[in-house]
Amino acid sequence: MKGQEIVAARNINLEVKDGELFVLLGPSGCGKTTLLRIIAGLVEPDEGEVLIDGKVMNGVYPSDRNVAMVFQNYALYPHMSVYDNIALNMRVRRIPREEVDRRVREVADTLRITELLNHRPKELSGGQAQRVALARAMVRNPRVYLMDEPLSNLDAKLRVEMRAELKRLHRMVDAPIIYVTHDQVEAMTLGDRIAVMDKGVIQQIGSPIELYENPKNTFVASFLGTPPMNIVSAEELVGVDGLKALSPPGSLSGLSVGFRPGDVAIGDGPLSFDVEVEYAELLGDEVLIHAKRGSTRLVIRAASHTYAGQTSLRVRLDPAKLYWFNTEGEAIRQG
Amino acid sequence: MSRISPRRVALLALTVSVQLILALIYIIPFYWMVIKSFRFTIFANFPPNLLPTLQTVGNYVYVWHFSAFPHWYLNSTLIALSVTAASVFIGSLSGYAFARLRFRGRDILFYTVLATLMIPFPVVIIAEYILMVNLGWVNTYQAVIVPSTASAVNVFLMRQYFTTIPQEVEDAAKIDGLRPHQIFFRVAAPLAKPAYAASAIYTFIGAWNSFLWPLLVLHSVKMFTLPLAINFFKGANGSQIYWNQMTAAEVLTMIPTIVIYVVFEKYFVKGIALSGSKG
Repeated sequence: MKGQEIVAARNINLEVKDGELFVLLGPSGCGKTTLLRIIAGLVEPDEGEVLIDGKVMNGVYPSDRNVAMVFQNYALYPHMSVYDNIALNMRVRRIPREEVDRRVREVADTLRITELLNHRPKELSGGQAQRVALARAMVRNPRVYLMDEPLSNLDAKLRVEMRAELKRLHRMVDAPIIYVTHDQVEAMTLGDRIAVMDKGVIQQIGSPIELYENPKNTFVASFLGTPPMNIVSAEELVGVDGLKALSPPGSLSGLSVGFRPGDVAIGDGPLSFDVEVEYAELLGDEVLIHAKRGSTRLVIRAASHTYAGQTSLRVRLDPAKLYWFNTEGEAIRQG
Repeated sequence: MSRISPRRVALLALTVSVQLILALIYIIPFYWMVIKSFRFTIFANFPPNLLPTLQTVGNYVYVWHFSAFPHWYLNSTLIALSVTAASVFIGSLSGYAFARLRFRGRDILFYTVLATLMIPFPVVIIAEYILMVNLGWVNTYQAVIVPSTASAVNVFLMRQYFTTIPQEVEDAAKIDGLRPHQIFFRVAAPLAKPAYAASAIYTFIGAWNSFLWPLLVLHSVKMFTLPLAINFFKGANGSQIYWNQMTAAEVLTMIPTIVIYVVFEKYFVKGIALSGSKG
């Protein structure tokens, strides 16, 4: 890629508070890891400043920033025991041996890895390795924790367990945690605040519920929530009874209407229209119906008993739960 | 089980015979050298007598006690160990720089280093000799050691290995407070042990067997290495070769390389696998 500059993150301006778990959420390649590496000092930004406690950190060596980082692939030192992995930082700083030992054992106890201290990283399972990586970060008592997709290499069950573990640890430490993930469930469940990033730009910052209820644009709207929000061109819905009354003033052309899969009901009434069913996924007491309206695909979440396998359905929107977006994809107002 | 077809049997037989012939071509001179070193007669007859006879160990005693053989052994050991240590150390430092550091012209420089592999040694031998003369190094140990310390092969081998160490591990080390030189010595180098072993073995054997360059720059008999010294078991003008003594000297010369090969065989294979890996 010679001769071509790639800007990974631009015009980022954010402030993280003490004790906060701040999530950088976005699809892969959106610049969130680069941003984290800039904060850590592993990459120097072309422009702009990184401040920790009001002090400019640009040009300061990573370890002198007093940040700790947990990596996606754990990044443990393969040739050292778990004990040495955790102790390395303190040894480099020439902390007395008794003190190192006390702190390693203390943090190992907190993370329940005491029995692993003499093992080598290759003998650990993914979950254990991630605990060791967390221990290595915690033992330093850093000013900021940086976590780069720490759970993405774990299987689904372990991920849920470790999420709970992270919540517990978060309550124990005062330092802010900046947490990078592409998994919106992780972001919603862990984050005090979330910054949604796309193509190197922060799209919106807010609490999980704020982002979920008031997305600033179609990207945020469709990134949060499983399944994601349906976004339909208003032109596809021309003629739907009652829609015009709810729409922003002016022509419908170029506008999009958003609604969450759960805010659509099966049945006739105001704001109803027909869809063709492509397939349905039964999830127990609810069903996800994948349907088509014109050229647009929709997902409808309904109670299992309300759907009997029809190939076409009439569905009804909830007028209080419509989102309107303009041609640029920005939210206009909530319906 | 299906029966093996006659065609396959024939093919197998052919393959095995070719391999056997090739193996014999390599083994027979070696075998002859070993048995000859235990014989009284100095002559080498043709066709050679390949009967395994142990007549005397006197040739070994003579070689060891009545020539400067122990001294030459020491020369060879000193030179080969120095070349190995320096070349592997320098190769690993520059290999690491090419693998990990970002600097202007890095790739061009790396490919230039690699390109030196394409230049046959005889092409530079005169220039290098003149350099030794001007430095006043002719007939010194450093004349044999110093030019061999920069090895493009080792640079390449080490670079290939260092690129396989995950960047994240080094990032973690930076955050843990290790400075770049500490990252090299405490993290990268310990993880590159197999590459160190492979390049050390290659370099040692290469330096131990080296003949042409030492022949040019080492003039006094006291400075000789073993491959040069073997030449001594010839009469004046090469009129008479003392085959039994010469083969004894050869066997003694070969022992270290054989031991190294047997002990570190797995690193040999790994070394070849490494140098063949993509960069």
